Amino acid sequence: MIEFKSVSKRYPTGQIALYNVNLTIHQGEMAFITGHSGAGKSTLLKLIALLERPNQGKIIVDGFDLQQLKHRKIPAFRRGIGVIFQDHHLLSDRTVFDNIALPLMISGMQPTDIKRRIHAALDKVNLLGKEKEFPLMLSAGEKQRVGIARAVVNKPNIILADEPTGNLDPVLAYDIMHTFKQFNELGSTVIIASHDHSLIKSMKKRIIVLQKVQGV
Amino acid sequence: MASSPNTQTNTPIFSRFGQHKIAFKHSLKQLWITPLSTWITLAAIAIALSLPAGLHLLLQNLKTLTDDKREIPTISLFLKQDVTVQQARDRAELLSDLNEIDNVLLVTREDALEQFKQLTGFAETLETLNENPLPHVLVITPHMKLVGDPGIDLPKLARQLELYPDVDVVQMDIEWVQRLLAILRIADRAVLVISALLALTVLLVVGNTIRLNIENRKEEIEVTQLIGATNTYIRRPFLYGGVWYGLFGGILSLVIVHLSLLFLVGPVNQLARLYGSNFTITGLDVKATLFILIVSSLLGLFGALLAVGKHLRQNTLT
Repeated sequence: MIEFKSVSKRYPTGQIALYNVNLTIHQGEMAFITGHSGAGKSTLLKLIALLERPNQGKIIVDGFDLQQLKHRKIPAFRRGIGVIFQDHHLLSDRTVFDNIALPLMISGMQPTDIKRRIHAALDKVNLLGKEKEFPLMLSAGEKQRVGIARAVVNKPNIILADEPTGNLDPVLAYDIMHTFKQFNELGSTVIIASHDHSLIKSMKKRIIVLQKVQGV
Repeated sequence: MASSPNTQTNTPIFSRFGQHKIAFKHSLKQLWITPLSTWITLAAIAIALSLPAGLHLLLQNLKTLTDDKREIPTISLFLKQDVTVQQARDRAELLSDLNEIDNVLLVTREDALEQFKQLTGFAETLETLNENPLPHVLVITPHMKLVGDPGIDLPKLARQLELYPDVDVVQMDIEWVQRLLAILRIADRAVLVISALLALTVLLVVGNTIRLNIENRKEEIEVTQLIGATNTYIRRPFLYGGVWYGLFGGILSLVIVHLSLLFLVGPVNQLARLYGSNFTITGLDVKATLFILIVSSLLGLFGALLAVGKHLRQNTLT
């Protein structure tokens, strides 16, 4: 379960990304975060993944109060969350296999298990046979799928996706969303930030709308 | 498919070994990816290390010169003019009974004059003298095991011998050795200072090289941080990289030192022969070689540690 209790986030530039947010997302739920540009969609995801810290309030993720979480335990906490970025964040000098292997290597998994897990992850995102290719050789949709495979390969409890369909055509976008739905059906909590209203309405899942903070 | 929440920071030993293996291979591979910059860095490290190594070697060789002399330091006792041969013999016998003295050789004034004539070629001039101006001389070889360091104990023995009433002048033949040792002690300090400065240079060279490597792999570091890599995991390949730079730089410096030695050994041996010495220039022993390799590896490690530590301090996600 993910809980936000009166959470506010102000960046050093003075920009207020979130103000007094109260929110509960249950275990195994799939939810969409939407809102105008600058409403704080990405910030909300970053706060859950501990990529940012709130200025005020409390965030509880799977029973862990993130404010209380010791600094040395943050990497292990992050390994329990799969994050998908709009711009993929793939390493251009590594093959698809090596990109997906990264979280497993960080977790200290054995090479034989790494191969098995990658095979399974590629199968789920329909990219089997692309293991040896480099990101530059892939289409935008394929890159996003590699990003998804990397995020889910460690079997995370929570999957966060920040505008995962931003650069994709409607058919590919729906395909990607369907993939997320499948992961949700397998038990993961899935939170997706998107401004594509028609797409997220079609998924028939919970929609959380963030309003842009005006001069608080 | 979801796993339970995990904030376990420790990884099993076999996994950690696997991560070390990956970092080990990856860091070596990184050196080969950019061979030119790798060789330039290694050359800079090697030159910085070969200078103190070479100076150390030079001093060690000079010290062996004094070591040779330490084995046979002698003290010459010039007896007073009125001392007879028999009295000189008696004195020699008494002195040879002393614990500190190994051997006493009497050179009578007649023998001394004869040697002087042969050595100087002043035979005819000396013939014109009414009497032999040279005194009897006792050449004393002390027990080195008993007296220890000649620089410390021999002057004490000399002062003791000076007290005998029939002794006119006491002369030690190790004074030049002592002077050389004093110079070598200063040179030792100078080499130490130069070594420290050049070690700092190696530290900075490796640190800067690793800093550039970090800049080139900034994106990779950021991504690994995003997906849960610990600082230890991120640091590891760079630390291995630092060790490789230090170690290979150290090996290259040894090659430079020994090549220089090969270049010098012929002329030095020739010079030594001209002075009737068996002195031969020697290379670095196993202990010194290992010391250079260990120190250079550690310098590489610390240089990398500084660079990657600074980066991680400035680029922590939260």
